[in-house]
Amino acid sequence: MEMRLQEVDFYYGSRVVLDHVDLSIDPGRTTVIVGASGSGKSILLKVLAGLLPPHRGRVLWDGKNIFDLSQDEEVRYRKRSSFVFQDAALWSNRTIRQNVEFPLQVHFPELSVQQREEKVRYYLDKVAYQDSIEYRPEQISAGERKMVSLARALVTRPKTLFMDSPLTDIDATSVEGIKSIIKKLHSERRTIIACFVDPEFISLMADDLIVLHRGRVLAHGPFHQVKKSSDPLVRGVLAMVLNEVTAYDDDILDLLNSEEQLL
Amino acid sequence: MAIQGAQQMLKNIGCRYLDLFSEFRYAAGFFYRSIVAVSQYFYRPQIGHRVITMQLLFTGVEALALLALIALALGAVIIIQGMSVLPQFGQGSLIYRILIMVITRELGPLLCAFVVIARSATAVSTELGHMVVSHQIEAYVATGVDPVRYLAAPRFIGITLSMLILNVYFNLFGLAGSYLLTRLFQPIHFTEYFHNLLIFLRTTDIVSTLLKSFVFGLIISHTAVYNGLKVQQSSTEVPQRVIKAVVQGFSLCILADAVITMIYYL
Amino acid sequence: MKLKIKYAEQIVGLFVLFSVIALALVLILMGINQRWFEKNYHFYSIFPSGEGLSRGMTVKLKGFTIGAVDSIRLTEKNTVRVDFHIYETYYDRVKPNSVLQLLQSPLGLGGGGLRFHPGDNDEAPVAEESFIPSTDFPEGRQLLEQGLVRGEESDDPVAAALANIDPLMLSAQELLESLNRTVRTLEDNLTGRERGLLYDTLEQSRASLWELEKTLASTGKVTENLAEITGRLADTEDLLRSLVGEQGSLGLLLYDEELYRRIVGILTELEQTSAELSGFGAYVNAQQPTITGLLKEGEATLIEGRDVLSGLKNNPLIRGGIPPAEAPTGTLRGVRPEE
Repeated sequence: MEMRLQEVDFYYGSRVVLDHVDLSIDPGRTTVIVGASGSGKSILLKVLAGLLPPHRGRVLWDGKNIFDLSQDEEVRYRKRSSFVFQDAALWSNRTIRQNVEFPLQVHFPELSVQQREEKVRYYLDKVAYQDSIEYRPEQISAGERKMVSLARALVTRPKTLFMDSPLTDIDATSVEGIKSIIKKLHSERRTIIACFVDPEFISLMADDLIVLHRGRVLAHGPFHQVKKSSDPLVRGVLAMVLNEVTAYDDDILDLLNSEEQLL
Repeated sequence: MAIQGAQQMLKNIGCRYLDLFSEFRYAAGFFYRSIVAVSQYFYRPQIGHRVITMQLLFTGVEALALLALIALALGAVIIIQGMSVLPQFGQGSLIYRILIMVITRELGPLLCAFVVIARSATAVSTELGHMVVSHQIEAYVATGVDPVRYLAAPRFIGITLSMLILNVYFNLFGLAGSYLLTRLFQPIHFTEYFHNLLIFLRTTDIVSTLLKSFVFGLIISHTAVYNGLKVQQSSTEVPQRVIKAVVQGFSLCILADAVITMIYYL
Repeated sequence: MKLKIKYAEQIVGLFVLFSVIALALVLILMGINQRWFEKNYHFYSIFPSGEGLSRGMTVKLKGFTIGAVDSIRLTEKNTVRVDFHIYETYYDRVKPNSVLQLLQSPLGLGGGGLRFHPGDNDEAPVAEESFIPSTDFPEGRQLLEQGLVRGEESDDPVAAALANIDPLMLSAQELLESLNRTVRTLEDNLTGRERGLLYDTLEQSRASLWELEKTLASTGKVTENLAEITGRLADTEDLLRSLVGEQGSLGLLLYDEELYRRIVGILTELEQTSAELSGFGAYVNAQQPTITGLLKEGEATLIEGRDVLSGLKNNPLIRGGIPPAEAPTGTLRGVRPEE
């Protein structure tokens, strides 16, 4: 599924969060959005995923504006995509089992209760969730919630996955398990659009890189190409995110830091 | 300098009214979407039946005790007061008119609305506000579930249906229950009381009271859901929005009550 | 709480079901009590004014609701047409010569209504959509006055008391006026300003006296004649004899004892009547100022009384002071239980 953003603006009140964003994402590739905190990564991800309507511009999935789709069309698209939220965003009025089961109920109503139950257990095992599945989200730890939210995203076997910092809040032992799941998805050539903070994992996973700075896309392209960019701002962001500091970049880093403070 | 100040003031006023107008337009659009979602709800298979059931349980069943108490007290007070005064003027039969006017036509729907606003509108706004803050609404969108259809519509139906049913119960307790309560103090003949009540009760009274509770139900659910979903980012917005839901609910209900009563007497 | 959630469906089901049943039951009972399923017979009437009339106003007979007003409208002749219906149960009461009367509660608190007076006959009920006259027009009033209608008394004690005040006032005033008239007639008769029965009697007496005087005058002439004749008697014994003789005219007068006694009787009677009349006249003359004063005083008192009652009638606030027919028993009376 090809995704395009055309002239997208997004504001929070008078603050510009996304400024004339224009990009397209190729299917079957893992695209990582990088930028300093507050640069608009999460918003960009949500606008791309069609969760937040932009104040200007269009979000196209296979050439169609995601916000103009009919109910049935939207459901079809949603069946093929999933979103992992930074704060897990589990439905607090449902148990863990119900949380994972719900997308199945929506998209696969033909499945029997038993089949659904099996799938739920399979994916919860896969993310190494070990507590009772009848707990409510507030009864488990933040790390476990993150795992459950990953299971909820994977349960429908989506072709496109949006991940907003999926590895934060998770303890070290679980991180490896989740990393391996993402690696597997990557190897299956699913479209992944994600924000990661782990520099090593970005280097390992990213096919494409989007460099975001104060709501503007500074660079977008294959990872190695962007990494070689001569734009000082791009280099500065990458230096910060990927811990690749060069003597040349020192001034830029100062510049960026002062700009961050201004934000 | 003074001119600039005046210009700035005019600009501020203009901006305020434009904001107000755009908010009103947005709210009206949301109301329209909710109504469409509600109408779709009945002929499209949905997973939200349980939400309606729970909404009826929380808004309807759980408010019953409080409303019954209010209705009983109100009805008994009207009967006792009316009986001590009206027969002196030879106008004893006015008591039925007053009972029907106060309990059925006016205070019944309004008091139900107040109780539902206080108990359920606040709960719905808070719940939805927290869902927005913790991105649960976005999670629904991401799953392909329209939050208006899945969250707003069942609450609309649940609250409106609860209002209608609670109003029926309020009338039962206010007209029939208060009779039993009054019997403890003063003897009234059973058949005479109910016969007269049924003679004085008009279909227009019933239509008016049901129409009122239906409209109040729509108003309450709309203000509650709208304000709940209007929360944007922070949890501090939640109580502010809840207060707005309550204030808007109260004022719109009273306004609608006045309008419907005026139409009734036109 | 857990239990409530577990059985949420059942609880909510009961909650909804019971309210629906209750509503349906109330509607059915309303239908039965308000005769939704019975046929209504429609009639109309004409009133001079729409004042006090309203849609839905009940039509009552002996305190029982037997129908209601459907609509009121102003006709082209500026009268008010009232369409009303009578329940099937009471249709047989709508006999020919029935009339409709508008009652208005003097308190202005409602309670007024249309009262139906059925015609006093055993004929078949009138056809539907017929005209039923109202007592506000001569047609209806005539039916009432001619006794073709079974009348009834008001059952509202206050309204009845107030309704009785007007006739009372009227009759009191009539009494006063007639008394006043009598006194004036008497006075006029006595002063001779007007000719009444008493005047006639007096006149007649005067006429009788005048005639008597005339008779006496002619009797004088007779006596003169008699003297002349007596003078002449010296000359003519024959003439004397013919005159004084038993068969002579004078002789008839002088020797007929009967005739003489009659004349004397008449004279005595006349004297007595004259004396009595003069006594009565003197008495009446003496008493006249006292009677006039007395009647004037009575009239003033009654006028004052009327003013007080009118004030009472016009002020609904003081009306609470009028004691009800019976002390309130706590029973809510209004409509009869077994209509």
